Amino acid sequence: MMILALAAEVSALRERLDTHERLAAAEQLPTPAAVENYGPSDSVEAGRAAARRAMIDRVTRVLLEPESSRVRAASEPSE
Amino acid sequence: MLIEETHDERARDAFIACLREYAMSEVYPKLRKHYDEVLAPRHAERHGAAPESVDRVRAVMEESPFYTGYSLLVRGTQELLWDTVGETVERQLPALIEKAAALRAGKGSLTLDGSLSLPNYTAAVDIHVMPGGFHTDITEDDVFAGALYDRGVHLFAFGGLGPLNDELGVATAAAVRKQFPNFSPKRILDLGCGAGHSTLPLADAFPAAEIHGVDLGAPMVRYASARAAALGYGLHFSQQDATRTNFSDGSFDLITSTLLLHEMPRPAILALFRECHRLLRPGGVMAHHDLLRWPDEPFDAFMMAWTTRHNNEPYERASGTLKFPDDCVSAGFAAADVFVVAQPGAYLEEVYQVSGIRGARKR
Repeated sequence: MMILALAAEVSALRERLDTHERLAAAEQLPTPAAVENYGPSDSVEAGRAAARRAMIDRVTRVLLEPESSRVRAASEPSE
Repeated sequence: MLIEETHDERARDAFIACLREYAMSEVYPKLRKHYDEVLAPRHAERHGAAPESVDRVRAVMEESPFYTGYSLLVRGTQELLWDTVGETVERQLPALIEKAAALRAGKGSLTLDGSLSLPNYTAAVDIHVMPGGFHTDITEDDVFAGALYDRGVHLFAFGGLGPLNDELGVATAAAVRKQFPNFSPKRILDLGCGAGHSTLPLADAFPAAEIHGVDLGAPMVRYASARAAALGYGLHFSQQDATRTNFSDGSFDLITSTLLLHEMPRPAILALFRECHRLLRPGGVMAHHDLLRWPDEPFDAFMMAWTTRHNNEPYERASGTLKFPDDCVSAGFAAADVFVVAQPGAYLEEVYQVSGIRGARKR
């Protein structure tokens, strides 16, 4: 729960940063009002959805790795 | 009537919906595969056969870190969902309450019953781990639970119930129309109506009907009434116990419920069927959208029971193990008038393959 809550915060923060960068790219000041009024296009939203998903994969990977692959990984020689 | 969200609140919500979709669409099938390929064979190695009962499945699953990970993910996401949406609702609650009151003054009606005593089966548990359940008033004229559930269930289903969370209600209305092509109900009652997600589709399917919704929760019916008015519907909501309403005998043509039965213990479900029989006029129909059965296969049954144990839905098995038509017959319906409509394609079909609409027509 704590890790998931933190991951949600980091994800929200990344999206806020992305909004800042996109406003800057459009030569707009990233004021609080400009950030609130920003609406992502479908393609921007698709990119954000992929980033969310990738973060979830990274954060939960250890927790949700089936034992078989964990055992296999442990028995492989380390580099 | 939906809550308003800031940039960051929308981002948190999107993350939670993504977590839910990931858990249900990706991790759940992997868990099944892991059980089939590793855990069941391990049980067979030790005991000579794959697990034949839910208890045997539990024994191998609870040894598995992957299953523990799945449980932590799904329960953690559920708690985070309510925490996150709850914070957003609380921030704007005074404005929401004011908006709801103004909307209610426009269309339909709302009747509250401050003296209604909650049945223990509802008061004793926060269904779905939703803080305060469907019934707790946290302030005067409160709509918190309604606003929380409306947004929360949308994230829970990762949008799978449609923009208005009405997919199941639309399916119920369509099933009734298909089952009884010439049926034209004049008065309709939706039991355990919650935020009205499944009440509104009844008005779309039967536009000439007078439609009532009842729920135990005052904050739910306050919210439902305002939400219906905001969407242009004039419906009648009241705070009542669905098993003993104050409506007259034979006063409804159609009575529905959606995902209500699986939150009620068996004696309450049977009381609800009896109440439906009392309230229906001859020729009237009751239709309940819920679990059609409880899985036989041990893994499926164990995972169905996951929500019973970990999502605060302790009575869930009662609805899946109802005896049809017997339990309708004991409420006064004739066995030949009982019907079952499976609902393939309904929400989360890949996980919960056992839902549909069951009911009976009164002679």
